Amino acid sequence: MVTPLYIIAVALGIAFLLPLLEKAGRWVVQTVFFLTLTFFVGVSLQWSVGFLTHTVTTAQIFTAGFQPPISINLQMGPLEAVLTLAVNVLALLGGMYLVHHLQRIGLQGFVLFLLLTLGMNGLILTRDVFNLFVFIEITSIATYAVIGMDLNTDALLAGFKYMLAGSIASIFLLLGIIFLYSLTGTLNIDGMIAAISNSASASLPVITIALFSLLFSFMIEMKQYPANGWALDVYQSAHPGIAGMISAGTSGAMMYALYKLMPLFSPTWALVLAGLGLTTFVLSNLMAIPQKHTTRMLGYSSIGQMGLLLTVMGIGTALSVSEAVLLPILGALFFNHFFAKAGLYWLAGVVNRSTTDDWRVLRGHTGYQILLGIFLLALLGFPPFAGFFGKWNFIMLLAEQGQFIWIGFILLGSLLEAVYLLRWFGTAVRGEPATHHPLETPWLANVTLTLLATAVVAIGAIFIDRTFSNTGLLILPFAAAAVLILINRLPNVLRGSTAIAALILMAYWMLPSQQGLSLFFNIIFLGGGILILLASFGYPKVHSGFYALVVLMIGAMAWLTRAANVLQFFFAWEVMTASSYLLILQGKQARTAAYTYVLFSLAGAFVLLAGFATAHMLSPHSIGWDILANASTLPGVFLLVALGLLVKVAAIGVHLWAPGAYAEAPDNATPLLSAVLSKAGILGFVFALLKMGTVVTGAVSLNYLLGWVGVLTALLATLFAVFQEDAKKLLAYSSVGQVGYIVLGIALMSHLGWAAALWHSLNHMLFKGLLFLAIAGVIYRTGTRQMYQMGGLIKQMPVSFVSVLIGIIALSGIPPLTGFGGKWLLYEALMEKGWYFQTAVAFFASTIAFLYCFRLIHTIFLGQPKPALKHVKEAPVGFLIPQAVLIGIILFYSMRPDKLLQPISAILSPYFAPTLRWENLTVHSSLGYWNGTWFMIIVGIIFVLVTLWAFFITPRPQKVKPFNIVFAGERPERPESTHYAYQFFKPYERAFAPVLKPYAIRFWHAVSEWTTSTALALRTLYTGNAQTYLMHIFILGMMLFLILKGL
Amino acid sequence: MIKRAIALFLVLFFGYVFTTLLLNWHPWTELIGVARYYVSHELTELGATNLVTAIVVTYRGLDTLGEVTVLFLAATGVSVLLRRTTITLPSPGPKRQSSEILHTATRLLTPFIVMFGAYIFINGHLTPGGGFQGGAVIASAVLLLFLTNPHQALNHRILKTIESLSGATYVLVGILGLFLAGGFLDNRILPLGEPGRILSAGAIPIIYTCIGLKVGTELANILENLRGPATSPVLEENEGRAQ
Amino acid sequence: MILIIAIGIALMLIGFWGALIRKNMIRIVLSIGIAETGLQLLMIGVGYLKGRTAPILDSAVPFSQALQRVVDPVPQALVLTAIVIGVAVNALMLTFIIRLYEKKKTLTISDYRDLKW
Repeated sequence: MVTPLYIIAVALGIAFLLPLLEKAGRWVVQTVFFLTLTFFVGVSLQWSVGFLTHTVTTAQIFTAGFQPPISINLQMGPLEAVLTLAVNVLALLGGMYLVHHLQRIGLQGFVLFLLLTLGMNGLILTRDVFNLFVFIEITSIATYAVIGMDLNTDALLAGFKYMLAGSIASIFLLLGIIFLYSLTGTLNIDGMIAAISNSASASLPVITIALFSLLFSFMIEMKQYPANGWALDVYQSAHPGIAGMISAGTSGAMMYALYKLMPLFSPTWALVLAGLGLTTFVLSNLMAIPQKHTTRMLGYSSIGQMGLLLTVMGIGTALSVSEAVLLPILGALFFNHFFAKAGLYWLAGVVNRSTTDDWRVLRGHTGYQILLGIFLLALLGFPPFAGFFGKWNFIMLLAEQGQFIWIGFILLGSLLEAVYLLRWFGTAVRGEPATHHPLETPWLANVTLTLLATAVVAIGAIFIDRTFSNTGLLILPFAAAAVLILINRLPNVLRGSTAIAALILMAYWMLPSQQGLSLFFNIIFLGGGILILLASFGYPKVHSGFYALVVLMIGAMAWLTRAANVLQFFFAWEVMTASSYLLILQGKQARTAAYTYVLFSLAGAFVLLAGFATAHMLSPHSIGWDILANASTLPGVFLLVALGLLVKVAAIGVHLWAPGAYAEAPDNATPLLSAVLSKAGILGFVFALLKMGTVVTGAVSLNYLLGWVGVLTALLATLFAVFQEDAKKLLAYSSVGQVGYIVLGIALMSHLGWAAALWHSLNHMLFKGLLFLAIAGVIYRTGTRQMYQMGGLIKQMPVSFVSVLIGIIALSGIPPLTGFGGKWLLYEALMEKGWYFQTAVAFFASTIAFLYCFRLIHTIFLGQPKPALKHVKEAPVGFLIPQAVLIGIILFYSMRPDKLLQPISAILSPYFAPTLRWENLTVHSSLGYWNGTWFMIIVGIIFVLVTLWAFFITPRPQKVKPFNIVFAGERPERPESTHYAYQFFKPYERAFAPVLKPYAIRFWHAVSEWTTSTALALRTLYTGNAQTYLMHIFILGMMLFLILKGL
Repeated sequence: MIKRAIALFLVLFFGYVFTTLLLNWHPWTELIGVARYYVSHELTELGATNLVTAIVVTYRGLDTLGEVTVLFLAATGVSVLLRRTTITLPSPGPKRQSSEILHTATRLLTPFIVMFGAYIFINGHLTPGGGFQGGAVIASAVLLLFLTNPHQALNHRILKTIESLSGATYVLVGILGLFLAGGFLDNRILPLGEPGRILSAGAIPIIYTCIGLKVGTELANILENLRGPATSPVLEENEGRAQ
Repeated sequence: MILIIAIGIALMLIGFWGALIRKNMIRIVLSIGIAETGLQLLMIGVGYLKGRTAPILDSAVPFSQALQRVVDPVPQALVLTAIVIGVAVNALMLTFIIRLYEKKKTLTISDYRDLKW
């Protein structure tokens, strides 16, 4: 092993000698520079590998030939090895990224950069508190110099503010050190810790104040609220390459320095630290929301993440959590942020646009978009990245200790962070195109960014490997997605076939080992996914990345069905959220819709997570599904889990995301979202309620409330659907309503109710897939979603007409198709339970559904054809094949409902006593009976008779030309009014006006306004005056002192 | 006004904190901890009669190396930040020449100041003083030169070479400690000699000489850079007022 | 020695006051320099033992009596480092001011508020 002393010696030797090499030319200088950095990486890598293979043990490196505390010692343990490796890799990549910039500065730029790296290494390695101070100063001074070195006024200004803050921090650090030394007689950290904790004098005022000074100094260096205005300025104005180094490297090393000192502080102090960190985390993420300047916004995020890490560290010490538990959490959060944030800053340097709005230049730069996506999703703690595991484990840790307020604020802060980061991402991916100067794409920067992204992914992979045992199956969707991205350039047919093959492979691996409810839902997910994916063959060109995202989304949903515990469930849930978000974002106008979708989904997911955490508190030793079984003792579990899932099923009040997301998603993705994705929430309910059962709090049964939410969702969504002009929005609201019925069925907690829910889940997948596919075909041909621009398409698109006809019959729940079975079961179940009111409302809603069903087929296919659409042809065969398959399945189950109902009964029998009885093909319940086959035959005969009658008896119909009525007198001013079916149900709309007021929209709008104005008010704290910032620093000190003294 | 009030309040608050500190602090009457060890073992272990020097150069040698680095960083930083850019400052008005007396005195004094500085760092292990102090004294000679003649040119190549080589030698001596003695920066790579002699205390005189030269040249560098290519803007303002 | 420490504390407070009140950036830097000096005095004071002498061994303080005769040498070594670092930071701060002045021709700190919120 090469002793890490050589890092110090080589860095200094090279730095001192480099000025002599100036004459030798810049190639020599650069070669030496990169060789030195590579040497650092080599040394730390050698140690890391050594620790990984257990060939070395923690080494104490003495200097001057004396043991500590006589001399300064360095420590190279596993933590130090990994941290120095990270720092040195970052430095090497940073050197590559910045090489042109450094070249412009000249030789001294390289010297400063080397010494900055040295400082960070020293901070990590040293075990002497005064030596720590020296390395802090080396790091800081090198940082000041590199911030200012390009002589940009803003950067100089920020650097000056930083130096003022740094000077105050140094003064207090030294003050603390000197008194601690005088009391303990040592400067060695370990010796000092031993002396402080052993001595009875630990509570003496002198020690208190000395420790306070030390802590205060670190709080300044770690940019805690409110003493962090200077840091924002630095992040904003420094060269992004440097800002990335500071945010990741310098802050990270500082963080570890504090970690070494943590044992000096008592648990109560650690708790104060955690509180300060959390305050910083929440507030800086809040204040970042109105921020439009990219690097300043990233600065807020960096500060927030620092706060989060401090919280974890503080909590860990305060609750004396063992290192085995704490380090994986810290490690996941730390390294994830380390590389992702560096990547974001460096990407910002390449894009070189000051405001986030200008990031629309990324349109068309798919590579950068992917990089941005990886960094952002990693930072936000989405799986498969390490941040996910960090957050999960931390929240579960807090839950075990019953620390709910902490959980709440951490989730709040994380959500706020998503608000601005994902808004930025939306702009970068789907912003309106603008005239712009083309992006420069320096290859060296691209290489470093790719390497950083690789690091982010690799760290995530490490944690996946550590956490899950069945990694093989987990990897498949990711691998398939990666392959699909690689073969992006190949013809559509090939990509589509690969995607379908991947799904079939998943089905082949997963389905045989599954049974019961899991199998049922997995068939819906995988089967529905495969069927609907077939339609993509109909498109000549499919978005790049479409197949990858679909496979990932469907794969994630397939994992959901086999989640053995809530962690696996939540992991898959979040993968599903992320991939569906990206999928929606592929829609041309989808920026706002996708943004709304992901924020609601994320909020829902966090609420769900809070629910799981609450349940975990009741059974701290498990994360299996059984933890939900105790929910009856704590209704909060039920409330949180149900609320989280309700967001996903777009229940009324939290349905805002659904119409936009379904309507604006690419036309080939919408069927998947509506038919398949919407069932994920149902699956969640099924899994959760199976364990939680009926929860009664006070006098109210929570299931009863859930039932009301379901039925009201059904009613209101149906009402909204009636008044839509946009075909996709109409179907979107319809989906929301239909899922409301399913929720209602599940809430019943009875055999019949669940049978209805399962029946309807499958059925809704079939007919909504069918409808969306048919409509997608129409939109594909007509190029519009507005129904008033269509009309009379029956002649040109007869097959699509039949599809829609079958679809709406199945939807509206009239005999003879499957929809009837679902409704019949549901009403039976409601009556059986005595929920008469709900029955009435559900019945009313389903009557109203006729209105929009009629609207859909009538406005699009019947009536007078539009002249503009004269040459429209039938949808491509690729669209029609899956429709034919879906129709076939619907007809089959309509004819033989027993083939579906009997398995459903069997699936449910372990949980509920069956109440359905079979006699041949007739099903009997307590209230009546139903024979689907006879029904079908009778209705079929009536249909044939009526058709024949219409055909032979009625006189030949007269054709009406479209212009007959339109140009009767004057020219209509608005083109939509030339369609007779425009605002078809306007009269009803007036009647329902009070119900239809957008209460939910207003509410969420107010929430968003309030958040923004709070943020705007709070951030006026950062006046820009360096002296005010100094004042903030002293105020922080005062507050800290008062709080610590009060405890 | 509010700002002043807050500032006053904050300063008074920290005054209270520090006073509490002071009032509760009871100095030891005996040496404790490492200090006790240093005082009772240093002479036999390292052979320097100046205990502070032994601590600075050997026991806590890594700190000192860091300290040299800090100064080096500052010098590098100052020279990067004040490097000549395309912007040229307006040249200051004509300056009055320094008087003959000043010139002569400077010429006379400079070698002695440099010599005094060298004396301080060479004797660092015996008497009060050392590399930093000696270096600062040497730099003061440069400052004197600049005050007398603001356009005084320095020989950069020599300065840079001295600075680089002395720094590198310091590191090299440190590394030699790894091989020839107990560890990095161990001064016992050379015989300790008889305490009190100029050639004693192992490598301490060598290290302090390196530090002295390096600090002297670095400080000179900083001074030269702060003087600016022609003038520093702050000075310019003052002169404008004087005229 | 309590008095030295008290003076050190007073200097630190004066420095803080100046840094918080003075408008001129150079004065702010000087104020911080004063505070640093105060701290350095304090450090020396903390290492002082009553009635003892400098930790240099010679005929007046022979090695055998050193333990009873000299003050704590460690703070003196530390203060040396602290001084050098202080000098380095101050030099750099003044350099930043020079550059800022060059751009904006003002030394008033409140004139530099381009970055905020």
